[in-house]
Amino acid sequence: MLVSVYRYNPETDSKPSMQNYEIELPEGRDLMVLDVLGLIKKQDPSIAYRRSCREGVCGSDGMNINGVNGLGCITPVSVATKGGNKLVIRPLPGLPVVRDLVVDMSIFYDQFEKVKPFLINDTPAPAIERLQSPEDRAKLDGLYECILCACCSTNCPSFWWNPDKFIGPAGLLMAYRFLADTRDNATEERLEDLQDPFSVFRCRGIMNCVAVCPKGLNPTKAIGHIRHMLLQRGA
Amino acid sequence: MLGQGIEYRDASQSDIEKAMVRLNRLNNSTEGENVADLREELQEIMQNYFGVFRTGDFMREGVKKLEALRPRIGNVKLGDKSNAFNTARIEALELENLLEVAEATALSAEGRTESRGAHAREDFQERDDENWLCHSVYHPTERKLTKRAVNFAPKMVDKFEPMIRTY
Repeated sequence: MLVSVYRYNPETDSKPSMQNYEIELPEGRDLMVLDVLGLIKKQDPSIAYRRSCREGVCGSDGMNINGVNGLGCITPVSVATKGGNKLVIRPLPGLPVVRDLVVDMSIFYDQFEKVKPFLINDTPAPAIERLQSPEDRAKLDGLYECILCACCSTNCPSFWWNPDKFIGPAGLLMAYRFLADTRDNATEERLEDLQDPFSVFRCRGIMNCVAVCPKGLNPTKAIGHIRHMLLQRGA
Repeated sequence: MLGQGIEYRDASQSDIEKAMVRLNRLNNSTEGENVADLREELQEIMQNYFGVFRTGDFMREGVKKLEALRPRIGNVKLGDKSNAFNTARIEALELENLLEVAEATALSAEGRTESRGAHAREDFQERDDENWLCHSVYHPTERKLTKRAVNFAPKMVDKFEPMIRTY
């Protein structure tokens, strides 16, 4: 199979280019895109990409595969190529490229940090743990599973446009995860931080984030809930 | 927090030198085998000779294979000398580390003449609390195995008598 990979080494290249590899895929078996990168790295050790758990849990290998953001380790080649015979692998769009498929995630993490992605509760901690009813706990389903792979935010036109001011889908999903948590009592403070024209309201409901999330999460829906909370608060 | 109860010292000049020798050898390597090929061989040896179900004869054969692999891994070639996000260099260093871990695993398994949990020996099928209710400690420089007692003195709860698990 023909695999075309985005290559850029800041030490030697003045600009990025696409490099083609002809890769022999095993007969009768569907590899994941990450396995194909492994086969390439075997013949060309100079190719750089992040990977760790190889099972869609760590979120290291977010990349753009045949035009669609996804995790290399859980994207089958057959799905990525839609039965075709060419695989095109690029780094996540919208972030500075460090080398080859490795992007600088700083902007993404900066936005994530802004939403204070941790439980805030200033009441004294009980002896055992802060309890929650099963119903309240269920409200967090679909919110807490995010693995921070950045597939969503780097697929979002609003984030491309205002990566410094718009929190982006990943950060906002986490913001709502704590707004919806009955054990957190900083709701007012959290909403105050988000109450500006950019942090939340740059979301235009394009739903590119929903289309690519490897964990099947729905940031747009969470952003809708935050919008509602902000508008109710303002009214 | 992490350092609590642990004594540590700063790296000595000779520690740093040792690390630099290792790094420089890789950076200056021009011939030798590929990291990926050697890693695959190492994986195969560990899978075939030191799986969950093990026997002494087989493991001793595996140990010999690991010994034969050591000089080859010591002479591995770094295929990418770049200083920008070089994952090839990390994988080469990891391969050397993997061999150390593999050898510790192999010799500890071979030395423990009993079966316990996921260490299931076909030549020693019974759990042996008399001789092996202990940690295995592997000393890489002497390639030697010693035992260390397990702490059975809980501070908060009554101790749980160790016994053979018959479900």
